Amino acid sequence: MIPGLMQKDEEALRRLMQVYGDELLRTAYLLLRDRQAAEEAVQDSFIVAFERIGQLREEAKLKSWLIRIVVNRCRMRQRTWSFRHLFPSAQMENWLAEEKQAGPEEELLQQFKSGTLTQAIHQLNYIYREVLVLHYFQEMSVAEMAEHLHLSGNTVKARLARGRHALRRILEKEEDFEWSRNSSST
Amino acid sequence: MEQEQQFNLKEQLESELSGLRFTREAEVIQRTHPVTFRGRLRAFWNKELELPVVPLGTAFALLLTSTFLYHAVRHPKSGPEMSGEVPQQRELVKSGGSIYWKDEIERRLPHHENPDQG
Repeated sequence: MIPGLMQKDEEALRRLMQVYGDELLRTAYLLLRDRQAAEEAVQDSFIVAFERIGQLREEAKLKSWLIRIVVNRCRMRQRTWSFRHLFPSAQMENWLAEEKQAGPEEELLQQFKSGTLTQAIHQLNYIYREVLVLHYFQEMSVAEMAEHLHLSGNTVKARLARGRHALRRILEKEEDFEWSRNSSST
Repeated sequence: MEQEQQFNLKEQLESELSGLRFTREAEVIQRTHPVTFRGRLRAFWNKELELPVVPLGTAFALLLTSTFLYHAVRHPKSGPEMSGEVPQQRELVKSGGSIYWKDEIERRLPHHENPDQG
C-alpha cells in the first residue's frame, strides 16, 4: 500500500481509507463528541497523510502515524472551535452540512447506539478523553502516548489516573455497567 | 488485570461505535485527485500551508516595535501634549452678518483691499 501512496496512486489511497477509515473515525468521534466534526477531521487527516507520506520513516508504523495525524487534527479542531462559530460563512456551511445529514430518526438511532461508555467518555475534559481513548481504544502504552502527545511519561500517567477516576465516578452512576464493578474490586 | 480491563473497554467501545463508518472517501479523492478545473482550483484554494507561529510572530513584533521607535525618534514632538505649548485659541469675529475666524480675516483682508499686491 505504501509504495502506491508514494507514487500518488488513487487506488492505494482508497485502500488506506477502507482499512483505517472506520477506526480513525471512531477515535475522532470519541475525542470530538460530534460526528460531523469527526468526519471532517478524518477527511483532512487522509489528505494530509497522502500529501506527506514521504515523511513516514517506518512502514510498520503506518497506523500509529495516522493516529498521530488524527489526534493533531482533533486538537486543532478543539482549539479552533470558537473561531469556526464566529464567522457566518463557517456557520452557514455547518447548517448546510446538517441539512445533508441524516434525519431526526437516524440521529436518535445513532444516539441510542452510542452507548453508556461512549457517553461517559464524552463527559470528560478533553485532556482526559485524549489519554483514555488512546490507552483503552487504541491500546497505546504510556510511553507511546507520551511520544504522540509530546508530554512527559509522568504527565500521561497522572492524566490517565485522573481520567480513569473521573470515568469510574460517571460509570458508577450507571448500575448496569460491568466495568465499574470490575474496577472497584481492583 | 489492567490488560483485561483494557480489552473489556475496547470491546465495549467497538460494540457501541460499530455503527460509525467513514463515508467521505469520495471527498478525499476529489481533493487529492481533482479531475475538473474547478476541482483543481478548489484543491489549490484549500491547500494547507504550515506557518511557523513563533518565528513569524517574533518578526512581526520586531517590525512593529522598530517602526514605532523610528517614528518616535524622527517626530519626538509631534503631539500637542508632548510639545508643552498651549494650543492657540482662535477668535471668532462678526462682520457683515457673517462669522469668521479673526486670524483668517486678518490674513485675507489686505489681499482684498489691495488685489494688485498679489
